[in-house]
Amino acid sequence: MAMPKKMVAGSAVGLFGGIIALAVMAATWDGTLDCIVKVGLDMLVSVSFFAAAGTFMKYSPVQGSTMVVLSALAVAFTLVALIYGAMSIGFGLVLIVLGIVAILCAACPTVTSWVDANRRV
Amino acid sequence: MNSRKIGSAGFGIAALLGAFIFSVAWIIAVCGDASWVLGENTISDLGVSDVQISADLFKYACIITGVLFAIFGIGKAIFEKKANCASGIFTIIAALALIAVGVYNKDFGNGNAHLFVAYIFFLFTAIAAILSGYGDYHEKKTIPTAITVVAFVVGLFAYATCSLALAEVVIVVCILIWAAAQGVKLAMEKA
Repeated sequence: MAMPKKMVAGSAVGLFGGIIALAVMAATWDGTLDCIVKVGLDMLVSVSFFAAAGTFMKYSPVQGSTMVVLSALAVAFTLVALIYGAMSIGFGLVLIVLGIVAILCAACPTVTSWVDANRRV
Repeated sequence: MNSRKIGSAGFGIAALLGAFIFSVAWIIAVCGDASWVLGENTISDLGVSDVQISADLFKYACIITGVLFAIFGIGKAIFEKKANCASGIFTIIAALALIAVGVYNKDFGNGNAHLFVAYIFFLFTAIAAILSGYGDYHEKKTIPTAITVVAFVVGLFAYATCSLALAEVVIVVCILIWAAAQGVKLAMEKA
């Protein structure tokens, strides 16, 4: 069975979100150690988006129901970064929307069943 | 079969109603008390507000929402299985604690009773959320799982890093969202 297009969409959204968070992380660094917590939070957001993107790849390392957990974690860490003030509201909202799209892709029955079937191959 | 579906829908709607009533009452109470500041005052400060209507709104919102959440917890315990059933039981206990939060405000005695029941409410709600997340994950209910994960992680972070006042606000918002999502899930439960 061919890979569902939602898998491609999910991985694209995850990668895009990770790159945006990476750029926000770079912009947060102000040359002093005082900003290390905010940089760390932005890095956490970036890493979680890349991890979510990884679950949408062929030969996904996790089972279908875990994909939505990882996408949800990306959204959660973005909210955490927003509450802490580690990123601007604009970028935060963009990342939250991307994360929600990833969650919706991961929640699709075709995606979860394809991943579970493909992992057993 | 049809009556079972209707029964679970009623319990789910109780959760939605509870979340809605508390949200509206909270907003109106804050609007009525100009001295309440987000991040500086806890929600419980509304219970001892100088503005009588704000104090009454907080008190009765806690009691009514507690009753509705208890009904929701009973429905969860009856209609769901395993971890979700256990989650329902913890929700009932948390709901009873919420009723007590409304009855025993910060000025009752030396304030320890209020503090105690408030911590019981938050602790048992956290356990209920963990159990429901675990149960939904294993039952492959993806959207409720996602919402529980987001609400729990954000609430946990707020508790760990923010001031008590701000953390309480964030955690209560997360609880309301979690309860509403679980209410929708229970209401749409197939027979």
